[in-house]
Amino acid sequence: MRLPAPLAIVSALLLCCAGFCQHANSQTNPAKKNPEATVSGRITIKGKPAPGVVVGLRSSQPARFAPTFKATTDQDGDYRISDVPAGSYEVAPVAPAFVIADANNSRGQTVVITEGENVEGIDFELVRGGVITGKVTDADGNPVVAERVNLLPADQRNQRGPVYPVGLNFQTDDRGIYRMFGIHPGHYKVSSGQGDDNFYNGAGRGRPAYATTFYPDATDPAKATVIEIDEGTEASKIDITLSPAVPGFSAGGRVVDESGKPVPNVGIGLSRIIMIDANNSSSSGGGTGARSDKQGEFRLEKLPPGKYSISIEPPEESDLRGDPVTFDLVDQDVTGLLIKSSVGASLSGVVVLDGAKGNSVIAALAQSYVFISAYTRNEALHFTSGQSTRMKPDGSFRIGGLQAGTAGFSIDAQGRIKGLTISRIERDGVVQPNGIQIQNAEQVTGIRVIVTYGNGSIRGVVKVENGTLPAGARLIIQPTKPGDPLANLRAATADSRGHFLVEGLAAGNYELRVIAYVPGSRTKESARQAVSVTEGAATDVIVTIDLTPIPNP
Amino acid sequence: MKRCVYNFLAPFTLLITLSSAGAAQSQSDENNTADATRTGTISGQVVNDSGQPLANALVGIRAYLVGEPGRTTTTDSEGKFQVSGLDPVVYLVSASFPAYVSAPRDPDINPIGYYRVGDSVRLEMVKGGVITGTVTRSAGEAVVAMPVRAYLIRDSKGQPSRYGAPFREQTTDDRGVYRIYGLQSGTYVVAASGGSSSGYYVSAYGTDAPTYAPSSTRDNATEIYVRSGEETANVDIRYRGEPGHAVSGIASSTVTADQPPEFSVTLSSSFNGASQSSYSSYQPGGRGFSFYGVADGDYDVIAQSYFPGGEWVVSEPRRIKVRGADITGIELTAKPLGSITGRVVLEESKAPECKGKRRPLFGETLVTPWHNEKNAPKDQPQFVWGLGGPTLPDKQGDFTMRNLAPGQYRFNARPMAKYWYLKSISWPASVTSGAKTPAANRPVDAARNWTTLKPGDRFSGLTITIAEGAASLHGQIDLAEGQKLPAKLFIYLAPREREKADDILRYFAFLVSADGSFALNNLPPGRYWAIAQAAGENDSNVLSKLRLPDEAEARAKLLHDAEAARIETELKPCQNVTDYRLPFR
Repeated sequence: MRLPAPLAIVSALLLCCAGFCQHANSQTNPAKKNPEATVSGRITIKGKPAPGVVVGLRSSQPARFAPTFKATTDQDGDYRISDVPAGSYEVAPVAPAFVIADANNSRGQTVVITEGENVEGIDFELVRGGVITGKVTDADGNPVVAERVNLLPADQRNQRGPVYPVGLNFQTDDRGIYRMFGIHPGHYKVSSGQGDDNFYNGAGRGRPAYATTFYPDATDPAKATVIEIDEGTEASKIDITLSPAVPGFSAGGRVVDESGKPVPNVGIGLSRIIMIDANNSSSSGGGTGARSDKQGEFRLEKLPPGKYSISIEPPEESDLRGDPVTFDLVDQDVTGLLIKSSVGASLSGVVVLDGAKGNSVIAALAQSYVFISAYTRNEALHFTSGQSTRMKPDGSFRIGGLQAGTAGFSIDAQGRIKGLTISRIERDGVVQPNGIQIQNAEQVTGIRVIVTYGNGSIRGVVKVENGTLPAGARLIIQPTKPGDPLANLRAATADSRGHFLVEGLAAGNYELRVIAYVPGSRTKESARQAVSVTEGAATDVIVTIDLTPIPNP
Repeated sequence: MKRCVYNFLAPFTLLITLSSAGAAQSQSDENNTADATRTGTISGQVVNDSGQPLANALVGIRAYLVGEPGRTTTTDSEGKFQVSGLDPVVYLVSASFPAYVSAPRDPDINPIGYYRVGDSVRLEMVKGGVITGTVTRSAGEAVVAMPVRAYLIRDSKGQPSRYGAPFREQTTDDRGVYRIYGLQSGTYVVAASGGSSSGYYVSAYGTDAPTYAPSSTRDNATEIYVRSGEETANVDIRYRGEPGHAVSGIASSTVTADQPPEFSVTLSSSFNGASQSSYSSYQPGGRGFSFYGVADGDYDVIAQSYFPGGEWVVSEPRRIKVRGADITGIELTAKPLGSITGRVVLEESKAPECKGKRRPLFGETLVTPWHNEKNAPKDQPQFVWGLGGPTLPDKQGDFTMRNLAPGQYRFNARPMAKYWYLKSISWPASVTSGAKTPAANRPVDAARNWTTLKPGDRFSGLTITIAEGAASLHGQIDLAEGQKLPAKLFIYLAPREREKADDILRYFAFLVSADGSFALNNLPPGRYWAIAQAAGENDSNVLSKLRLPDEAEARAKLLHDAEAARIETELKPCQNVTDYRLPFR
């Protein structure tokens, strides 16, 4: 698996689940050891009870195989989700034609639950979402079929992310007609056409036929007609006439090895680089489906003008690597791009578990899909790249195809094993607090990735002093480990009651601080509070945050 | 995420049912020099059923090899495409265009489902059919964002779906309306069925049993016939929302590997011959596999896993009966499938007429295993047959057919060179159990006898001989005054020489064109009886059937009829007969 991949994986999974596969998940609760908690509340629409609404509960740290829970509201609009193990969850109604009225919690509420607790009053007021419907045609008036339609908020500056009801995306049907629903009240622009930003679409589909076009027929988002959606309103005849895509140009070149010999049959990856401003850029891309031929030559057709980065995508388990080559397509074809590939550096060693439980957990790990990733940062090139591999049953690993630079590691058990964190990295028995320096093509052995499996936790309540948190404020609880700045500990979010849960901590001493994010005002931080965690147990704490305004100097 | 491919196999299943030698080749192979290293181009055009070009259609070209990622391109404004730099092997070429489906391929008219470098391909697509309706609850309120699936249970010829009913899915909108388009002609059932939760997303209906249109279980589902290009409206579903059951268990493999494999588990049910499947992926070390929202009924559960290098392991199907309760604790053990290795041998002709002719390339000589459908285990889910597809020999002619499910097999290989023909397919005397008779020091004819493969059997030594000297026979049917050409008229060849009567590879059937012309190629030289006969209305893939090992009677009858008609023809090595007249009475 090549990096950066996490996004690609997640989207592939979602597609997969929607269409074809049923994954092992949900509702198979482990054998009951302790009394399980319940979460209950009421769903209302305009203050009236809403029966028959499904309310879902998922982990605050979702993962592919994490269980989910649900319940349906009764005649009084009441629901009760039972048999929930202690933990931190997100609760939301699954009612796609409706939206949550509270704009501050429009995606649901965080609920932190302790063992056997009955959390009540997790209520939601729903309003009917808006609808936008229309037809997408080409310049000749022919319907454009199976074309995705996007909704963009027109209120916020420079925000380009679409807002969908969870789990839905909208496409035109065989008549070119689309119907988007469950839209929050607000101002929107509607666009269709895959456009240049998604030019390769990940699956080697090649260049889409249409440019991104905004209702009614603008390719410039600034010229889009803004649509206003109120609660439950329907905007119809939002017809879009798609502009054809710019013809585009080709980019060709060669992949060679260190001695200049052609490298055949290697995949070509391409990223489009979008300059946000002079100093910032974003890029998106992936495999193109193109491969180098016997002469090492490749050619990509029909690329829209723009800035690109081209790279090789070596097969899995290959040590081949190549620095990406950046080029601009302006008004003509580009030829002669030269991707120099070389045998990359490698890191090999073993994953070791700290603590007494080592063997049983390692055995569980071996049966599971644990991926070890190494990232190297090349300061001279300002470029971070990484590779990932699956850990072998004996804990050993070898990650090849790395660039020179400073290497760091990460570990991912796909949510199957909670609380797995890397506590330190050793090379030939020496701790490497600042990462491992690797040279070009260096084959580094003797790495020990020391992992802690933490089954301790900190649960607590945030106490607010000298003020109240306004609506929309968020409390984030950040744990740190004194003396170990590299410990990568995940922050937790407090629920509406100020309850929080930090899970997966190994025994030891930690510090907590609370950060209060208040919309439109300065971020507040609490003092650090020392907490001691013991194995397999939860430590209860109260953390105080003082909201006294900071006097201006 | 890697294993969610089985439904995508469906488009290729048509292509896998290849026919054998004897059909027209689009290329002239006269004196071409064969070069196994030179790359080339496949080009073509995508058109609709009235011949209009389809622009921006997606075209996929994939070498007939395991693990080949393939190449894609889109058609230009004239519907044309071209992919160059292709190695000289055989390719599958397919097109997709939103709301369209591939025009059905008649195996008698176009027996070749694959192409090679230099070919020009015409891909015809027709507008698919539409099923639309509304999903509501009993009180009439809309069921929103509900996935609705149209399962193809029988194709337009009434054939049940072989690889688990392919389906297309759309979700309902805020009014409960769904519209499923791009459906090939055939008979469908429509179901509102759950969708599934993941750790990221809670599905509202994921644990419900499916409700089939109009408001029933599978037993009482309305069958809907859809014609391409037409719309069937008001296929409404009154959603029952009844809880389904969970089916769960664990899988393991007898093969030990460096890495524990990821299993794909299939739950399939059969109804009137068509199988319907759902899939669950599963990694050991987790909670195992589980299916939710399973309705009462009988199912087969099967686990499979793929090992790097192309080998599959598959468990025996486990029959389960879901009756009002969850089923847990199913244990499935996946075992390796069978494999067959062998070699394609080229036998040159000494005839002076055959001098300097193009040799076939091994990379173009597709070797295809066919299982005996009549004798196949009834409970074997159909997709298993799709795991072990055709293969291509390497540069020395050696090939391996892997992942063959237990069953009976026969084989075919098609020479892609005009003057070559398939001469024999044989096992050395000792390999297969059926050969252990006292007189069995001779090779066993693997064309005339099924090869029986048990789980995990690994046979080697299959020899496929492709010989030089093939003749061709092109010509015209002579009709009597006022006589009309029947719709499905076949020209048959049967061996004239007595000692060849048992040689299956000397029996030929070829569909006569509407204008009465025919063109038979890659024929072994020798003497034949020729006869024209009309095939029955429902006879499909006549040649394939004629060469089934069990069809000795059909061959004997053909030979008898042809002998009685007394039209004899002799084909010399590398002879091209161009104006043959065959009377049809």
